[in-house]
Amino acid sequence: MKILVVDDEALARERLERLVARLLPEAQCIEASDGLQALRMVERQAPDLLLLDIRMPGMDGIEVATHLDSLENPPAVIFCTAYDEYALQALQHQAVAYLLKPVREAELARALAGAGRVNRLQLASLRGGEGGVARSHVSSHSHRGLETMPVAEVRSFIAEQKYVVARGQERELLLPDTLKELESEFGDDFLRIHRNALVARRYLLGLERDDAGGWRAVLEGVDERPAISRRHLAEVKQRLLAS
Amino acid sequence: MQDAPKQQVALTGGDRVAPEFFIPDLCAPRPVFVMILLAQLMVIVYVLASSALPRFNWDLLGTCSLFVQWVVLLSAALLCQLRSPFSRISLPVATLGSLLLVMAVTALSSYVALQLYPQIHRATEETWWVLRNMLVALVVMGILLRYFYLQQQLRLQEQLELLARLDSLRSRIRPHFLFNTLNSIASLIMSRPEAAERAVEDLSELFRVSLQETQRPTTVADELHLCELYLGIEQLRLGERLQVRWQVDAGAREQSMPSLLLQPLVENAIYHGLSQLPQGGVITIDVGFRQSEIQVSVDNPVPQQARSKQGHHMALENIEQRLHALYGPGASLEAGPRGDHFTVRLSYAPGALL
Repeated sequence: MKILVVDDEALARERLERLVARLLPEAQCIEASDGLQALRMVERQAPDLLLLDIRMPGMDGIEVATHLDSLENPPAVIFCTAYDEYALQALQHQAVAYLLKPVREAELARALAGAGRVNRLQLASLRGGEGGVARSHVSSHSHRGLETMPVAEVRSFIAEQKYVVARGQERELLLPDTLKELESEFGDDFLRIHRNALVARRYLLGLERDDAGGWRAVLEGVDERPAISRRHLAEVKQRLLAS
Repeated sequence: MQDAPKQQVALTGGDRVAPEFFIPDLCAPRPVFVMILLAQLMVIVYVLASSALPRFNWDLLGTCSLFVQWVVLLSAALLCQLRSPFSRISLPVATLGSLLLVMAVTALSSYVALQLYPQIHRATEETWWVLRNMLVALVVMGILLRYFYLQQQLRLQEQLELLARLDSLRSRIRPHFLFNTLNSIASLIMSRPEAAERAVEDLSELFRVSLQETQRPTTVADELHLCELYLGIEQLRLGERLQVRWQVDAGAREQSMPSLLLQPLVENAIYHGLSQLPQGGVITIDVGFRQSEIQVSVDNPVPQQARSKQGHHMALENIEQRLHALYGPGASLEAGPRGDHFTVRLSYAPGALL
């Protein structure tokens, strides 16, 4: 059994590993100190179980679990938290395995026995349901493995036949999410400009006319100029004027 | 554990100090009683001074008491009515207004008394008599206003000190800090027992300062020690992510500094800054002593999208209020982001303690 311990505090990792070693001497422990590193480790080392701290800088534990959800065969997750006002109640309600720090050996033994995957419904509840805390990254699972892109780098989300394409400055990612889901999650930072397109407010520089007489959005750092539908034009202009 | 969120709400409830108008409510029974008593004592002193003891001038006592009580109660009643308009204008204007009001009441009462009871003054001319009464009223009112002002400042200081300790206690029992520290200690007990021992000692000392009930004068050196204890605990958790650069002027150490002035700033720097950054960063703490003024700055990197802005301003607001209550309007505090850093600067003259 391979266990990935994720916590930004070295002493917390150390203690968990020591407890695991006592309970399951044959288990192999690996560790990660932040969310992104944890995702990379899952990719490379395929652990069976994650002991996942919730409050971490950058990508927090609940977001890590959300990205894991897109894997075909995600590892089991046990959340660890010193105390988290909003997550604690959700953890209890959703019967997700969790541990309170400082972790007791007996509690860890029980959680190890009962740990399972965390499903979508549970994750939605942990993130505070609709309109809850937005992720810091979007992710997709492809033949290249689990790829992530910081939401802060995304210029636009464009819906194509089967996927939504998240376009960054240097690369793009095919996302499993629908545009509607993305709009409700990132609505504060992204603006709907077309039935099939959201653009990042912070990168929206202006508008330009195309040969066919329609309007297109000019975005910082990318050549792509997504089309603006007539229905959304007034709102886009208003936003540009307001900023 | 399930009850905890409720406690959290109760403990972080807003109970900031709004400085009250410095003249107390003179319509309440207690101040009215105290004023009557004091006025009567003053009259007795006056009569004693102007007539010798075996032949105590009871007549003078009677007329004087009547006149003085009338002036005092009428002034108090008017001031009490004017309290809310006065509290909206600036302090010097309100002070001047109160003085003029009392003098006007005295002048008016003097003229009325002359009409009703002409033999009240003897040797001097009427105008001089009225003027004398007004001067007495001016001096007494001046002393009284100064007393009210000092009383109010003292009360404000006490309240703010109490709030600062309460805030600090709230931070100590902030579940995130407390449980993570206990977790660090639990981890250290096996691997580095001496470090665990030291962490328990440091945590105790932090609690002790937060729980302290009596104030004692503290210096910059005391406050720096407190910061070191706190940083020592955070260092256990954050390891290499936490780096601190100190810059302390040699002359600053012995200067006075109120307890829990700097430590909450350092705590903010970690809670809202470093602990939110995967790579951590450097906190720069600068304590200077220039031109008999203590100048402190705390600078830390912050994440681009701050997740929690709450709480930051509570501590800053309290520190600013305390600085002003203790060191007057010359003390200052400014805070704000500079690019991907957040800087707080404060300065005060330790010699200007009110």
